[in-house]
Amino acid sequence: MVEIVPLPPLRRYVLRGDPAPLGALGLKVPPLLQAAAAGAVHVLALGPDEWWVMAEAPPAWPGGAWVTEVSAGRAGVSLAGPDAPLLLAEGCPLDLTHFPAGACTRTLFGKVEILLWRRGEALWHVETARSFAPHLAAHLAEARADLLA
Amino acid sequence: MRLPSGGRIDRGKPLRFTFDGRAYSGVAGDTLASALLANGVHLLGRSFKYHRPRGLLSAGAEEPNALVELDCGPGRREPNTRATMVPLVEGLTARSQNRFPSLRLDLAAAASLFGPLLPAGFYYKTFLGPGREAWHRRWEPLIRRMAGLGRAPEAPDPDRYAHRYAHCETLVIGAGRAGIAAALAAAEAGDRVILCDEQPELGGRRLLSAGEVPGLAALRANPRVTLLPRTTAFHYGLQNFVSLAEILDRPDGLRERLWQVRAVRVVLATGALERPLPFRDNDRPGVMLADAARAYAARWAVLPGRQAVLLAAHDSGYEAAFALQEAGARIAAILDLRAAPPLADTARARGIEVRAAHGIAATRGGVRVSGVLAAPLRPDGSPDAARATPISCDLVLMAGGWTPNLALFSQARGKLRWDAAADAFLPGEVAEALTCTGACATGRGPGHPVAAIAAGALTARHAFVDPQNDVTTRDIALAVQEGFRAIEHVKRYTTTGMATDQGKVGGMLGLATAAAASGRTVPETGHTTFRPPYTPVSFGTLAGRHRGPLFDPIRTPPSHEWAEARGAVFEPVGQWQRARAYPQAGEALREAVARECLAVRQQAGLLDASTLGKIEITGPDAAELLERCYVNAVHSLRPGRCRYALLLREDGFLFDDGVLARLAEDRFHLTTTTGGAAHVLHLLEDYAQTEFPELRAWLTSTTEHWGVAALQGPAAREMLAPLVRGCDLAALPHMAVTEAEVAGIPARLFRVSFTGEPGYEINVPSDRLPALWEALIDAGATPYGTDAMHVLRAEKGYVIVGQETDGTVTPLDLGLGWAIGKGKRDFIGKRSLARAEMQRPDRRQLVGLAPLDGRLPEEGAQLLATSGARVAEGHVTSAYASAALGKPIALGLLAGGRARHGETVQATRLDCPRQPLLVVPPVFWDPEGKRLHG
Repeated sequence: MVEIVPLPPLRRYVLRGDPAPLGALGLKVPPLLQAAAAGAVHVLALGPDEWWVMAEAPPAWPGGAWVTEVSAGRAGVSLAGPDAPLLLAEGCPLDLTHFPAGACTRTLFGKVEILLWRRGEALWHVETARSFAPHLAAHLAEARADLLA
Repeated sequence: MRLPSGGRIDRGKPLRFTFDGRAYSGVAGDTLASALLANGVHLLGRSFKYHRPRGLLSAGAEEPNALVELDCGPGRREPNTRATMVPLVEGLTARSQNRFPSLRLDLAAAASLFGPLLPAGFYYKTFLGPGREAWHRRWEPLIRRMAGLGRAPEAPDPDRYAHRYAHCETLVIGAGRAGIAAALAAAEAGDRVILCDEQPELGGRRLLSAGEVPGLAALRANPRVTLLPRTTAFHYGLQNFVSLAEILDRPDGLRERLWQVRAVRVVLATGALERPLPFRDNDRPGVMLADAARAYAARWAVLPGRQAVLLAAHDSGYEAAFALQEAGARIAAILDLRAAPPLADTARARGIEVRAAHGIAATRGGVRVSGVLAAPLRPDGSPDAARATPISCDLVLMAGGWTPNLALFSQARGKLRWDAAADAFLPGEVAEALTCTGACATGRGPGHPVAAIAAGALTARHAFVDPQNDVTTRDIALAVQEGFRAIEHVKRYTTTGMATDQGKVGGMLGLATAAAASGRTVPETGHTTFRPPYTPVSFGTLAGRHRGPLFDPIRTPPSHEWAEARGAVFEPVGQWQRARAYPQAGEALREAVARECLAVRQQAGLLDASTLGKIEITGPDAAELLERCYVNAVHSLRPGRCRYALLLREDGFLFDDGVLARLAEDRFHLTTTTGGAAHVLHLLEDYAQTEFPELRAWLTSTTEHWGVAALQGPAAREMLAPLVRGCDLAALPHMAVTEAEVAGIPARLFRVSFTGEPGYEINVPSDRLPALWEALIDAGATPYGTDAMHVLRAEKGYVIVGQETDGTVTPLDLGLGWAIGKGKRDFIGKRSLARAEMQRPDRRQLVGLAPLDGRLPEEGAQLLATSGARVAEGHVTSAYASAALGKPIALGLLAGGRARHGETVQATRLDCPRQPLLVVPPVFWDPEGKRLHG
């Protein structure tokens, strides 16, 4: 059982270098490759000096933050259901049994680089660059159909 | 003949099938091979080279002879399928291969009579030397017609192929007794276990007995265990990355699945393969491996013959003979190569005649064996035909001993060591976290030494070592006689163990024969490498879902739907689909491009430039990082201004170009070429992380965040101005950037030009680009595509990286030396640029080329100083029909070109001898640049 749902529009920001501005948004600095949240604002630690902030509305960044907006450059899907790891195994080389809720990383699905974020036990956020999203969605949809048959 | 009882088949479920158009019936649980045997069909194919009649040798994946074509409807015709590995299904249609006009009467079998004309090395001998002509004219066409197995399918494959990555602590390959035991032990220790086996039913040789296979129930009940029948581990990669091909054959069209398994530990339980024995005409249908015959009787309740002769070099043959006897066959005789067969008395007690130190001088029969000539062995181990006696039989069993199946072990870079006691190569030093267990680790006990077997058959005729490749003992002896010593050379010269066999059937016997022929021991001779795949894998399995629409991502810019709706013509640029032109009704592509070019020159055109790479560089050291990488002076660039920026490789050659815009002291917006976007980001990231880790500067790709509308032309400002808020367009100079609101959308507004006309590149979030696009079209802009873009930039002498450059071109060659910051301490490629060789005046330099005959030059044409010259001095890099100038123009690279303006050079052409081109400056349009700054 796994459903594929398009992601809603999201504001996305890449903060580099200094994580201090996260505090101004009420966010804790999560450990590497994990996510943290303050209300509907999420932060994903994707690199040693790289934090992605995702929110439904633009957050109030303090001045001087080295932050770059990438909102419109990204798109993807949510996978909901217990069989999401099996579906992801069609194209993602990671061992997802060691990928607990709250974990996030850049990885691959088939021929596409993805950002994978396990938002909950059975809820996965999969996004890629805007122009790769149709390929990603079609690949997932075909694989899902075979999984369910 | 089907036995009335026994076997692991379901007699209650009959299945109909056809072979070569004749209808037969089998039962559920049959393979195609067992069902054909049950119907008394022994002749299943013709051999590769000599078209000799062939039947089943084995009952498993190593089958060299019974390669058939399956036809399951359009697109589902599959050649070279091993009949032993095909589970029978209702309606199966199979055909024999490599026969003309029919399997029974094959005209090319006459080739067998000419066997001596096609000896080992025939190909090499005719390819080279005086025979080469004859090879091309005569032999190759003939051999092409005769040889080759199977026909490739022509229709598209309608089925689907899946892929799965999997991880486990223990991967067990081979589900025989040893494999099941290893899987149970690992599962008990709490491991995630994957157990795979090529057979449809797990159990290995345990399937020779009736009943449930012990241990399987416990494995099935364990949720941490994945059992994969019909799954072949075909490739063993580094660090236990093993590829498995699972055959699903699901009715909904899911055919196979490629597994890529990363295992902490791998257990190889791949068993051992029985070897055939070499004697004259040992390839006649009805001659098969003893254990295979036993398997047909035990697993599929098929008696492969009524009267059998066993040729034994190993005790296991006796077990097979006894089993067949119990199943109702008569064992006419056991001929044992050994002088004192240990089981002779047991056999005699069963009423079977045993002749020790005997071999087979030859088999008798046509397309099925009808008897053998049993002969005592001479001291050299060869059968003494003069003293031979005939024995009638319809089945000959070969028990040649066992070769541990170490193909995957060898792929895993494990070393094989010769074990004299086991008379076999056994696993030696390992290079991965893997263990071998069961028969592949120990063999199945020694029999008559393989060296002695080979020595006794060196002079036998038609004694096949590798039936699939039609290689005989004599072929190998000939190769050795002709001087081949290294076993890899013998393999290639004779083709033994090549192709799909990879030594499974012929490997051990082949190298023992080479050893015997060269007077060396088996370990001295060594073994050949076992190359992947272990057994053939279909292309579909390897391609997976990446075919048709999913072959590769197709990337489209934000205006794609608009362009598609207006009938634009597209072209692929890497993975991108870009609009090439927007032809109007009745307009040819060429006309559309000319119209679009003129619209830009006379009014204003609109290009979707969203595919350009974009990188945001932030941080207090952002300028310093760029200063150290790009050739340009970056520190002196003021916020709000742009520079044409060049990036070199360390060798000094141009890598990419773009526009560098400074948005603030600590923030830059950099564009790259469409194709170079990812490469530039990686290169800069590499330098930032490894060369300059002390710099606080960070790179973020914004390529897809920004949609870019390039509005270019003398009327651009007039069109844009009414849409702009928050910026005075008239005050925005060429090569400047500002934030503004355009058509109500927050934008980064650049004044830049890639056409030579005044122009703007309006960056808005890509989801807003369609709205901006419509607004600009409504304002009167003419959409233009990449074709017009190419013409317009060439008219202005602007280069395209990858078109004017090919990895051997410096900025100086292109006349772009002005872009290099003066007095810079360093940048990538600076030192290389300073080399004398890079400054030579006769390097190929960018020039304009004006055709004197008024025709369009050919891109790629070589440039010659005179029409008779033989040495090219450059080439045409771009050539277009220029609508604005009303004539064709071209750019090119020409040795010392900048000093040769006014000279006429000759361009090569395919359609006439030479084309005269006048060398001119590379800027055809507005050389003073008055329009740009207007």
